[in-house]
Amino acid sequence: MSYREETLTVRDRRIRLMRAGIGQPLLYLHDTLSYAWTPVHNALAEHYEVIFPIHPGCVGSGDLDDIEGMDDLVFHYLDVCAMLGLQHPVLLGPSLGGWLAAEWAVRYPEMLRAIMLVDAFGLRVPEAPATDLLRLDPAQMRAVLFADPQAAVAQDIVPDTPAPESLEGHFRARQTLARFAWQFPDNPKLLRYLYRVKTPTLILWGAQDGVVSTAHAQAYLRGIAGAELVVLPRCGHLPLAEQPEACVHAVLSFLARLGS
Amino acid sequence: MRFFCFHLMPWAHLPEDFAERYDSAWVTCPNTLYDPQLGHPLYNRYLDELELADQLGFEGICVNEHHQNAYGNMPSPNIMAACLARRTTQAKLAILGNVLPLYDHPQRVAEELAMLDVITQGRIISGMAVGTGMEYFSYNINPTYARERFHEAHDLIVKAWTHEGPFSWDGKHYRFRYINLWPKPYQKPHPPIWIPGSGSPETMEWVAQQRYTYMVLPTLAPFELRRQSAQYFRECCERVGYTARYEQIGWGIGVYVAETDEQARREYEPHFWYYARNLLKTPAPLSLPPGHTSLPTMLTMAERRSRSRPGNLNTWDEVERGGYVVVGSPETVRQRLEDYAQRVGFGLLVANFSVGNVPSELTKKSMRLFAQEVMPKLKQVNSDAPLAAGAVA
Repeated sequence: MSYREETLTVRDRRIRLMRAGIGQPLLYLHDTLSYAWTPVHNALAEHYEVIFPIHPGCVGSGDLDDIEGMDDLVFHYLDVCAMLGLQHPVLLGPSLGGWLAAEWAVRYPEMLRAIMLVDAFGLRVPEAPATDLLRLDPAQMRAVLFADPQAAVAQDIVPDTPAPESLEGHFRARQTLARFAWQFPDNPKLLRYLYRVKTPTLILWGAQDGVVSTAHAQAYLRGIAGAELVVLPRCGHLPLAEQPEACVHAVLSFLARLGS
Repeated sequence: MRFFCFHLMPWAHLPEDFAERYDSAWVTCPNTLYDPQLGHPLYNRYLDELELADQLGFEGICVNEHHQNAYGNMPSPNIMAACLARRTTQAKLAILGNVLPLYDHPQRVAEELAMLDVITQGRIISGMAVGTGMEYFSYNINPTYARERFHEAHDLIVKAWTHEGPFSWDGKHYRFRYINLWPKPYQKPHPPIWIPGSGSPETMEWVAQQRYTYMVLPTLAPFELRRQSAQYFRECCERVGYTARYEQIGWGIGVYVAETDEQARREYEPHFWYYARNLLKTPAPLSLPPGHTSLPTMLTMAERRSRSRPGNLNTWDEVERGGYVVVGSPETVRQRLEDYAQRVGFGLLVANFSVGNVPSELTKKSMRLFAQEVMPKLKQVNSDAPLAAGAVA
């Protein structure tokens, strides 16, 4: 299946967007490690309309400029939803994208159909602090990001030397991560407001995540009433890349149980 | 030419196998390697060396700021300047510089420099720096705001020095109802401002606009790379509409003088390798945090860095040919510096005589030889005509 490319202008900022499929809207909030359209998006697009905008700061979209924190990014996405006329979208967010979904859901739970947090940043868990990804070299990053750091997908997402044509994308992604997640990829206040999430929630986590361990999944689970947790074996911080079939299965069965 | 004596004040007691055992001399370098018993004589010896420079007739002595590292033990350069303020009488005290983005209260920098300037009756030169990438890890400052914070802090400090108080500052990164500097700086309109930079075009363009002095760093990089930086800075000044004065370009460099070329190399080289292999050891992610420099600069820096890292050097021949340091007899050092000065157009020599774990006696001997036999012969090189009365240097 192929996706369509679109460009939006949101408050004078160019936003690149990919979309495919028909059905209920599923808004994909990407991470800053890999944000390409993958077979996972294709599989989901067989059942939902998958909408995959590129965050400000990342390649294809305009600069971050006055987007200084997660609150600004949530407002940005409210604008995106308004422009696209999205009603009650489902949010699927890995890593930084999951943090964004949680920040959104504590503020405006009623406008979301469901949220799916995949190895999400966002919570301060003092007994299991998140890894400072930005101080690691590529080999060290692969070791914490992937259950199998030798796998082709690990080399592909975190190469030792990015190809010249992907260098700008690499720097932009790191810059976006630094803007929101410098040293502490969390909002210390988020935990205390998780009770406000009345939205159906799936917490999907890699058992071997070396960036935000399953202790963070447990913290989300404790904070969000009625949330479901699925922990994937042989999987690190990026389940959609490392265990794509298991992710598609977990996501589709969770959404199917919600009904329409 | 004008002569300044610079000091890094490095930690001189790293273990022999440091480079094999540790991946960084910065940020995460365990401070079990620091020993205050050894630190006491080391600090005082380094301060003695800078005081000697005052006695030898250097125009100024220089300190700088780095955090949580073995490379340079001056987390507060203003404290070092305060130590020197009342132990020196002639030399200007160049603080190169305060790392402005690290501070949530830039008026503290304005205050401390004003204090020093008043105490020394106007001997302060104020360097202002964006700082290395590593400092952003050590102080948890978001590097994507490095440039914004640098510029806003600079603007606030200069305004605090030059405007009547109290006034309010309502900026993006800094907001203060009451800025009202007590004391005000001794020099009018304010202490000279030097900006150390390692080749970011955006820094050089701004320095040219401000008509400040640009100090070419890093100290340890190939001559040609640094010459290109100085050349670009001069072009920036031309674009702004003036020709840079020689003294607007500072040339930081390691210098060592001994009786003969052979002796100089023999005395200097082992300590040079201590510096290059241990003190400069920095993993790339620590030195290039995202946003610390602009994207275009980042793209070229990644490539420059791989070409110019002293850690990649293996032989003294490479060091010599690359022009990383100037080491030799008085005549050799004079010739090389004169040649560099003519090719680069710098009028401020910021020389670092101490290297790595070199013994103090050698550093002092080198400084004396330089002051007696090299300095007088270079004084006339790249010397500017006096500024018109009332002009700002």
